[in-house]
Amino acid sequence: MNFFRKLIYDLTNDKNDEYQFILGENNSKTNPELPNELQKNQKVYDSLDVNLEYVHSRFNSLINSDVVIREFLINVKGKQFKAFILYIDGMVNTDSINNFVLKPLMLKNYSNQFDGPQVVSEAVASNILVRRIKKFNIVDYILDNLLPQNDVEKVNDFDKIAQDVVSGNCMLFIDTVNFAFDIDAKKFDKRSIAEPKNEPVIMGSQEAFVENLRTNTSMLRRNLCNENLIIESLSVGKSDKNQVAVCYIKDIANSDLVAEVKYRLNNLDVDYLISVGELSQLIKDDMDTSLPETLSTERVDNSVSYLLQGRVVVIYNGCPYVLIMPATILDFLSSPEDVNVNHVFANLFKVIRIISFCITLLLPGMYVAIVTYHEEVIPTELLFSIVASRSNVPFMVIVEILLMEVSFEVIREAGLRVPTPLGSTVGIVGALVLGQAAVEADIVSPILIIIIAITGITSFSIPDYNLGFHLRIHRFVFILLGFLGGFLGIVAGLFMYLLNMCSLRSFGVPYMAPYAPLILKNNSGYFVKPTWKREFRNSALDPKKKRVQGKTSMKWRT
Amino acid sequence: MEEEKLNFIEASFLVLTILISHIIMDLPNMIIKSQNSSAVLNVIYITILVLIYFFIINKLFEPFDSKNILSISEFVGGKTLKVILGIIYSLYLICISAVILRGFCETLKIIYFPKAGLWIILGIFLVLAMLANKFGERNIIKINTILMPVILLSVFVIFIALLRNFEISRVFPLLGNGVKSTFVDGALNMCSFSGFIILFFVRPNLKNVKDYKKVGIVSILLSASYLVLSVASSLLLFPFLTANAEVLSVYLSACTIRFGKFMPRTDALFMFIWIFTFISYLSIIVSYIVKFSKESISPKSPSIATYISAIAIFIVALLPQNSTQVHFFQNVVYKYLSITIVFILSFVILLIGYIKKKKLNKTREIQ
Repeated sequence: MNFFRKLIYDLTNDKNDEYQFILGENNSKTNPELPNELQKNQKVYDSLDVNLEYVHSRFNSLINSDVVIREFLINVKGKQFKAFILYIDGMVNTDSINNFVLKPLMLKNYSNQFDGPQVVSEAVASNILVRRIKKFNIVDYILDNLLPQNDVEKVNDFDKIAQDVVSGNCMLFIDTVNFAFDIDAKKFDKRSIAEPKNEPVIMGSQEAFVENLRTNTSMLRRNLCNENLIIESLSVGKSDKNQVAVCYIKDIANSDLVAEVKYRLNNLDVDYLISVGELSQLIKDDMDTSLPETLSTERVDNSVSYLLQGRVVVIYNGCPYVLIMPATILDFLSSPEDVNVNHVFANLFKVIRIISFCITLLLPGMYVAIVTYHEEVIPTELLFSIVASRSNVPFMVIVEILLMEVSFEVIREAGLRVPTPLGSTVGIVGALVLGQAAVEADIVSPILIIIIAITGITSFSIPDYNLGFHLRIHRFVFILLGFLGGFLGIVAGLFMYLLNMCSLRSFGVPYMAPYAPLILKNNSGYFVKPTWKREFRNSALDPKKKRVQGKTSMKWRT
Repeated sequence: MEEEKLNFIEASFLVLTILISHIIMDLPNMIIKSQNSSAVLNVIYITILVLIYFFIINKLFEPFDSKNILSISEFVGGKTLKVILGIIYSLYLICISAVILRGFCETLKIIYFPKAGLWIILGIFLVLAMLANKFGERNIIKINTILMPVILLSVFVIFIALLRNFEISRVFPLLGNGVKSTFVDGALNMCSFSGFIILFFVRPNLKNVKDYKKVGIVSILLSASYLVLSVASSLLLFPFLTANAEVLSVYLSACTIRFGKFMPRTDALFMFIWIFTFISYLSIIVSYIVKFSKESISPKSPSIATYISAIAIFIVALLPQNSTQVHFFQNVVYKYLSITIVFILSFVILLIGYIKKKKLNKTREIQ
């Protein structure tokens, strides 16, 4: 019965009463751009009520559930003053606020009940006691006697107040006082220091950066015992105003380099940034290249090592990776382990990485070029084998290789996206099962599977993630060039690729230094020298201190 | 700004690129053809001549500090002479590079791209040279510095790999066609060092002008070694080489290399390196032509000079109708043009400039 009733209703009525939500329609009426008047360098008012009203409005406290505004009366020398504190719940240490802000100010105790003169100094001359007494001032009295906190500042700018409150500070406003007390009472849950996940080493430190900026700076301090380590704070973003720490060693890092880093960070017109990945793209020299121009690392010891070379480290609050600048191509092919092991082993690894770099970038393209134009390079027996294995494959070599390359990239991407326990399964299914099935179905030749597998494996030996990405993309370019022009195409591409690299700079340092331009003085180049022979810092960085160690570092031998 | 200047290795490699590209072209073939068994001796002889010539040039350059030949020509004959010389040098580089490029592209066409039009292969090289010049001369020199050790190594590898195939008796009789042929007529083979022209222009680009002597000696000796090894490889390997062989003699040498059963043919790998050399060479030549035009006629946009010079090389490279004409250009025109412009004209200008400068200094001293 109900069904028929509904049917009759549907037939007789239009269906335009259905709920529909379309974002963006009538935007100007329902979603007008808010006036920004509240955020224009407003100073703290004398009147507490006005301040209270302003704070309510600025922090949207009526709808913001975690913004706490606590009004109370302060007892000072028997008199009472109206006041309020402002903080964000979950970002402050409430015990600290209760015990060391509210208690001393509200409850009666010796300090706030004391009505005598405030003695600055006293001396006895000719049996006469001479005292210097300070004229009573409520602000000084509160600051000196009633706020037992180690970090209290006077702030009269609401922009600064807002920034500090969202960072976890507590603000104290008092009636008739035209500034607020900025009390550091931060405490929030954070991830504890853990081992590096993506840059493991055997013989080095096992500490990695975390998301909290202050924890990261403290780790740098702990690992680098030098009073010349400067950690400057800047904020990036107009809406977000996230903290960024610029770290460098004052007597080593080039002053122009430090100034340039700060200049770029201070001149970012962005609302917000989410990670150092975004930041690195915004401060790089050349926008047209996909080559990384700043190093990123999660290792504390690695950062310390670069600081000691004269580079600048930028820590972004909320990201467990730090940026290191300037960086050259050789830095992206170096591992933190290189300096920990004997230089012979380190150099062997470095050679392997260079070979891997070339294979990752060029092998598929070279294969296409050789099979298409330069068969004579292949030994005759192998050539027969390749020709035989390709005889049943219906595709041209370019289609075959692109098919496999794209499949490999899809498997790799899928392996990253699926939950960790399934990742290896995707890899096995993708690589082994699909690969074998593709060969048996004569879609691709077995030799091609070997080429793709070698290329894939070598790409994992590139230490830097961003460089790995870059190589993955450019591999396709070389495949096309190899197909179009054989070795001529590949050489043409490689020449332009190298030329582009030669033209790049990272914060003023040539990207291919010390090989292009050739800097002969005080450089070890790509390879690691024995520990006792690493006498100089990289001269491409033009550090203030050139020498790292004396001419005879092992003085005990002399 | 300091980084824009070249240190002595970069400058030496710059000169070497030009010298070696001319050698790869087909100079060993030309020298063997004219000298027969005394080809190696002749190369050593012309190397000594070129070194002596360089020492004289170095002496003549001394009063001019860091000036190049164009600036000196302005000192000698005013702006007009500078413009004329700028045009002569530009035309010379256009002609020589076009001939060299044509020879190399013909080889590439025969070996790898028989179906492709020659103009396509030529075009690829020239487009690359134009694009490279967009990155600036300094970056071309940087990449050249990286590539040069590999290029130098390639000829040593060829020589060493072919050692067991060499027939030492082919160097006999030592004097080949006779003393006159080896040491008098053979002196004209100095044209093998026509890349020497860069030494007349590199002085202002040096970080330290005192390195000029070092640059000259190193580049001449290295290119001489390259030439000796190339000539020796061809001479000791083949009973004869015909001037009309359609592919490069160094390529023919590379073709005979066998590294066991696994690498029966390695010539493609050497070709890989030589393509690099030629792109680098052409980029440098175009950048120098742009430089000459900048200094002598000051064009409004250097890019236009780049395009014009590349197109000019392209047109001149297409002028020869067949490989016989290409060989004629390589063996005759190249030889006499190089001797006239690089070794005579430049020397005369420099000598006049030197005398004028000395006279001027004397007059000043008297006053």
